[in-house]
Amino acid sequence: MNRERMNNRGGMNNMNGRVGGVTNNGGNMNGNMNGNMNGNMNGNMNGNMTDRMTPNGTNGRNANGGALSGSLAEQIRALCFVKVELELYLDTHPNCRTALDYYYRTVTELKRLTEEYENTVGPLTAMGNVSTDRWQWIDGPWPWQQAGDFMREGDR
Amino acid sequence: MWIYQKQLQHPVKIQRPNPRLAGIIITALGGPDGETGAAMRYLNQRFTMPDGRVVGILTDVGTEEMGHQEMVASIVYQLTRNLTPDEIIAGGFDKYYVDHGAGIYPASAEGVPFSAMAIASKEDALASIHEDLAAEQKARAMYDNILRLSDDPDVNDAIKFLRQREVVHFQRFGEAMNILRDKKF
Repeated sequence: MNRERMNNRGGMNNMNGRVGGVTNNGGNMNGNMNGNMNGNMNGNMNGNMTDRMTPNGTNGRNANGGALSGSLAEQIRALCFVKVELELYLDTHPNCRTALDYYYRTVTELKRLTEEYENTVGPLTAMGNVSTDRWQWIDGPWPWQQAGDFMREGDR
Repeated sequence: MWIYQKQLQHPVKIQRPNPRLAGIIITALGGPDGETGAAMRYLNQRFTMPDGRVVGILTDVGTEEMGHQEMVASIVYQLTRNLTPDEIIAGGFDKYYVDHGAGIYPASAEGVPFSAMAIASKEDALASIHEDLAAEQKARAMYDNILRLSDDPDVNDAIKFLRQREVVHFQRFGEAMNILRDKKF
């Protein structure tokens, strides 16, 4: 560990470089407190999301070829992130119609994907247990248990 | 009332166990700027907040912080899997291990158990929101320090996500402060 790097201002800049690329405002906590909608949205959301949410896409996943990459679980996770981000934004901007419209489209698509997931994989919440044979809610993997190399012996 | 969703907010897939890193990152769960304190701070501050917008942001950020507790605990859990006694001692994880094994216990990296002394909650709305702005900055600084000490890309991916959320929360709390000022609180 280079002591100089930890203590001087240059070290902080270096730090911001390392963690940069996360968002536009990632390195700057002193940014605009008044919350520019576009700035925040673009900064914190996955670019794919914009394609996916185009209004003319009735079937979101295939709309305009703007598919979210990854498994169904990963698509749900991405949409849940958009949902949370919009909820926080709407808390302090409750009359923003652009964000409201974005929110309703996000939730509609999320409900559709969640139903597909729960019918084919398993319950995402307890009330998503659809089996009449088994309470699948208790079946792994739990979120901290990862397949294969990531597993502990006890997770198998 | 809360509903649990069986999914992490951001993936945690750590390839290599690392007891030394686990002993550092546990502070993001139970340390003075950790996620346990964050959730407790915001969820308890809500009750006497005088504006629905501010109650909303405290509710939703506090809820997200519970998800972050789960992410940090998942990192520590995966970093400590299948360790031998020699690895535990070599990694400096022995002092944690002797009390908790590889169980998840909210404590600081120095071994101080989680303490509500690290949070504040006041009826005075502006005082609480200033506490929240400071808390997000301190947590962001803690994650910066973790990134300085970690060279594991799997760990850093999740830590960078958590760090970024502190920045977003700071932004929203800044707006909450302006809302309170506009209403002359």
